[in-house]
Amino acid sequence: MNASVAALPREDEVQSKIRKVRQFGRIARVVCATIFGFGLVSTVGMLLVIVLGPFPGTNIKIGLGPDFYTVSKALLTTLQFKVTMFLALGVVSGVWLSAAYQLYLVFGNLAAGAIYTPENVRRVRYVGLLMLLLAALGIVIPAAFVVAIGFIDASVPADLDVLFPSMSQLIGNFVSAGLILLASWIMDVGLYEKDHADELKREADLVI
Amino acid sequence: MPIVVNLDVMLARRKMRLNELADLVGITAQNLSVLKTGRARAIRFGTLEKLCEVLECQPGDLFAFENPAADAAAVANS
Repeated sequence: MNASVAALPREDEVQSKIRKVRQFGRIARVVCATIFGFGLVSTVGMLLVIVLGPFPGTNIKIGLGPDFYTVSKALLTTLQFKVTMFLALGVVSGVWLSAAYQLYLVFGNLAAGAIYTPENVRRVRYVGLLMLLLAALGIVIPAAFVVAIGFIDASVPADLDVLFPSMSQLIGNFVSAGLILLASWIMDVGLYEKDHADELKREADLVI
Repeated sequence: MPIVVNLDVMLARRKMRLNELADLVGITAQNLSVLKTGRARAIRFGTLEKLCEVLECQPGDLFAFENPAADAAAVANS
């Protein structure tokens, strides 16, 4: 409870970095909002194309294999194709939009100056888990599709690699998800350390 | 906390005010108030030395230990 608390070393440097983080948060929030809005409109548009289609010549990319749309259109009946694409696009886009929304909230907190908070740690962890889910969906959805195709028509050739994302894309997805999760764990540890330091400061304030 | 601060007793005996003691000891009246009301978690030897010097007393005059278990047993016996 000292009358004048001495400034900590690197105080000015840290304050400058906080200002930068806030400024970055403001810009990133706008970018995230734009991505979210664009993603939402695109998803609705693509869902409409799927429901009203299939239209010849169209090829919708939804983060799965490069030819998921065209292959499923060629192999399935119209109803099966619509249901499959609707579900796949709905799930993948839903996860993407959720991740974008969580990032929007995190950047909103950063813009408001709330940097090291339990809410931010939780939301970054959610983003990591959603990215991990996306990476897993890149394998699970095409795999389920291949299995289902096998049941529907056993004569379909097994060369369905085009349904899966490329190996480098898959590895990239898992690595980025892992890095985000790691960042959230590091933030969690930092939050514990901050709480501990705050507690020590409160204790020190009561030493006369 | 079983440690009781008898600073108010010593102040009354010396007919001294809290602000005056704070000035003489060289700490803020706010900190001294924290100590007097028993909210302090610890006291530095330096602060204790100055308090004893100004109040012309021993550390034992400023603090007392009241054992809650012994107090409860005494109440039960009576």
